[in-house]
Amino acid sequence: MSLKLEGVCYTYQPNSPYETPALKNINLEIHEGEFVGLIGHTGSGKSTLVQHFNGLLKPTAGKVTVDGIDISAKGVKLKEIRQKVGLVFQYPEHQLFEETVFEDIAFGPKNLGLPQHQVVKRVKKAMAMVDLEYDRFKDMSPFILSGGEKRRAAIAGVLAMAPKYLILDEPTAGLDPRGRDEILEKIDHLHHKEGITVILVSHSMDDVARLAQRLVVINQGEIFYNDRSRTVFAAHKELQHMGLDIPTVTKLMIRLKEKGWPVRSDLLTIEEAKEEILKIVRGGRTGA
Amino acid sequence: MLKDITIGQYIPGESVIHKLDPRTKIITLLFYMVGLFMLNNASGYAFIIFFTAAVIVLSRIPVIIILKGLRPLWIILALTLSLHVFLTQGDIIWQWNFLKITSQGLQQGTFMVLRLVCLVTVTSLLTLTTTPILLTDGLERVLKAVFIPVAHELAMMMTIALRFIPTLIEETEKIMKAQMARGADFDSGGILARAKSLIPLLVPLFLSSFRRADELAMAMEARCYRGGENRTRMKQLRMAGRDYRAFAVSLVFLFICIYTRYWM
Repeated sequence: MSLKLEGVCYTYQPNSPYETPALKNINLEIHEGEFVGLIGHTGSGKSTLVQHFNGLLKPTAGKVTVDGIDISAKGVKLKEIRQKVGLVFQYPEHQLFEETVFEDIAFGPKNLGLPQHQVVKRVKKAMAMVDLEYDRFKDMSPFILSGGEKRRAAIAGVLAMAPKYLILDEPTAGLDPRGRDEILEKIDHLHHKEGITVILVSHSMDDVARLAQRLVVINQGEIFYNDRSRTVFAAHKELQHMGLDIPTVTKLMIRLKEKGWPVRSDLLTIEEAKEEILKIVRGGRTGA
Repeated sequence: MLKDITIGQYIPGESVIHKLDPRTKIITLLFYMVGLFMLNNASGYAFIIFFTAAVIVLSRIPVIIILKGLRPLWIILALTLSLHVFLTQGDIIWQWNFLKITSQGLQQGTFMVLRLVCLVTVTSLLTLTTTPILLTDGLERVLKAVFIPVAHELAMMMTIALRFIPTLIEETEKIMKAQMARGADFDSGGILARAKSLIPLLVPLFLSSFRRADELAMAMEARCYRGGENRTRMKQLRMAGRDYRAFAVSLVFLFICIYTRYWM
């Protein structure tokens, strides 16, 4: 069971003066249970790519399959695909529209035609997943919430569809550091505790490095790297050439190494870096 | 689908039409409209189709872009045509139950459709060949010349409206997709179901428009914008020889339109 793209190409406004190829021959497979980071510069085609996973865009060439079902095939119920593959767009709080938080989150499950008691159950569960207290928030207008709360409510709106795969497009954009950490923590939780397959789209290396097991780097509509995070960040020179950064911690370790410290430079988190630095410093002392 | 709307779009170019002074373009457009509404027979319409085609060729705008701009209009065109064809009294040439087609209706319907097509084509040609900034400048000067008191404000409002058409279209598509990802269905069901399905689209769209308007007002005030009072321009508009020639051509055009109406 997986999301699979085979030879996918996508062109915006084909056969017109504005024709622009956005994706060129993309081959990618996302397995169930993975946490994949998708990174790329603005305009690299990453947002176009993720819209293929749930059939919002259909490839101009190539094939997209969701758990073995070809999304371009005739008679495919796109609603079922969209239930399976939840897509949270950039600034998802801009899609809120109902009078209460409950109603807004219930929009998805209701569209699926679930009976009322199921809808309530789904909404409760989704709100718990993003840490919004059901009794406190359910009757509030979504428009009076804080920025971070609005975003969580909007994400809950997608989670209430009970997706097997969850794609988040820049979920932390425009949030303050605290709101960002909250969201990322929830996403990590969804992956580990709920077993949801997550694809995290971002250009923030720090966010992705901490969470993703595998990284897909896309540049000018093509996949450049598709490997474990450590391996990808080892190619920091090439990444910088594409206008992409590397995690701050990795950058620090590379600097230290350049200054002659015998540290490993393929580290991604602050904890790892702390251990490594302490080890070297202590090792140095005992050695002296 | 929504991307097909070309109203307000500008396509850079170096043609004669691009280089005309915006005031010339606005005033000759008015002449064109007057001429268009004068027409009442086949030779007149033949002439205006020829004239419009000539202007399009001169502007070097690809015909496909103009045709695309007409596409969203087809419902109105079809409605106009059928209303005229079926409801005009006259010599019956085809009849089925209560439906009847008259030769007068057929002619009237064709003329109305041609009129609409010409109107939209040439109006969109104005925005296709004129940058929004030049268009406002031109509008402002034309409005001032006919002593409209808040000319600058009116012109500014129009530019902002034009400027935000593509932005709103983009926004609409984005929200539509976001709601579709939550299982929303915009294109099935009866009229009532469809109207209801627009709520999840319209509410966020309104909200974002208000937010945008607020932000724009703030940004303009931060740069000390205070209307047209004592406002000077970096680039002054100047009429050139080609502008006077354009006026001459449009006067001849107007004369021919009047001629076909009364003497042909």
